[in-house]
Amino acid sequence: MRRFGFILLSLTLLCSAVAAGWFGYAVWGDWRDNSDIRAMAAGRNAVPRDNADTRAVLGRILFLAHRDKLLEAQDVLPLMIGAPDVQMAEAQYAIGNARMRAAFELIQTARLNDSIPEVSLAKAAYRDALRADPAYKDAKVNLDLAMRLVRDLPRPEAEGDSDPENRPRRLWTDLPGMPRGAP
Amino acid sequence: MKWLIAILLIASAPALAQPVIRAENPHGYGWWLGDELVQRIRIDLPDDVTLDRASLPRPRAVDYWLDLRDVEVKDIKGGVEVTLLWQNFYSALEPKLREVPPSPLRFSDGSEAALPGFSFVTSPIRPITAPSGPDQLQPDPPFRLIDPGFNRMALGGSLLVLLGALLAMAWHQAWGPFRARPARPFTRAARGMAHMPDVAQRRRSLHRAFDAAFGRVLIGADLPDFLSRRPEFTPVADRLAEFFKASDAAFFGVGPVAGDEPDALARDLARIERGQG
Repeated sequence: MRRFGFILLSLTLLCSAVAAGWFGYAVWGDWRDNSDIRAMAAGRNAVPRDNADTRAVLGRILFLAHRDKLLEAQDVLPLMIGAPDVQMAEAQYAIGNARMRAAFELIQTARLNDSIPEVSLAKAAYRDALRADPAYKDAKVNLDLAMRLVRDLPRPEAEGDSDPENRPRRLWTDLPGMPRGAP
Repeated sequence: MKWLIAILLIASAPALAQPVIRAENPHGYGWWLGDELVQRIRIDLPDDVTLDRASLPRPRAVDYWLDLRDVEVKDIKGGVEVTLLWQNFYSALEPKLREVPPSPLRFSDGSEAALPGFSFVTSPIRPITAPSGPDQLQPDPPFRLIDPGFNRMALGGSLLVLLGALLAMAWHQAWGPFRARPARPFTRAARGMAHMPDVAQRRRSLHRAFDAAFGRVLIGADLPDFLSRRPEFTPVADRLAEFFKASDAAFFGVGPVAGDEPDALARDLARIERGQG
């Protein structure tokens, strides 16, 4: 009986020490990630630690995308693997927004042909956002907006029993200054 | 003539057992860009026929405006249930009827059928006259903070358990504030004996420990009684008997027994007493 008590106490001691260490590390990680997120929300640059929580990675993507540093934002995107769908959707949505801002800038300088691939990439990002979270209203609105700028429509011959693998192609557009064929 | 009809009926029976396909389609109205549509199809199959899973459509972009996200097959009683998850990416300018195409199916007996298609009306999200400018773009999502509540609670809980286990361990092992615990007489004796230069004094201190453990003065003759009350000390019964014999010899003047040091015995007794032996 005494032996049993000693073993039980030793095990409890060991387990609780391991748990305290584990959760202590987790609390430290939360604190570290939250201070990174606060810094980025306040506009200061911060790089999340390795194995940071996906919300810190999302914060980094938002920070970079908001400053139109798209390449860096896309480099960070793989770190979001395993994130909850809502966060994944927000990351893709932020990248789509950055692409749309770039596209609008090109439109304002009348470089319409350069803006079309940007809008297409934005649409792909919004689609990815909606795949992750189909109920994401902001992404729906912005995808609709992007779709009106550069619509994707099927090839005429592919209408009906279409080849499933066919690529969407743009036929007409909302871009300013482009004739729409209306009388 | 009758038997001929019977044979014909029997021969044509497998052909009659066509799989029955019933579809539970998504509602026909009220869909937006990005919505997911779930289509459930129940296929009743004869016992010896199975669905050729390779013939099911694979998740892909079926059309420029339609994704097939997921295909799930579940075996149910008397058939299979196929669940198709579609996603609509049609950006409508006005409410518009869209047709989801059917897809072919094969069964293990070579017969073929089709997963039924369906149609739904999808509506625009923004007014048709709404401008498509940078001002209409919805803003970036807000930053999300991590809720540290759970980890903090868990840390607090595990620290409490750690503290409790430490206290219980100290009490059990007679450490620190529980050093002088009466229920650990051998531990106390073993610790005290380290500071005693005289063998007789050390021996006496161990005897006091035996008395405390026994509840009254323990003499050599009571040893079997003591062991039956405290069976955990049975492994060292021989050494106890030796100790008491040597003690009697020293006390009654028969002469000291060579090589008799009570320290090792006291340490072992203390170990057993604390459950470590």
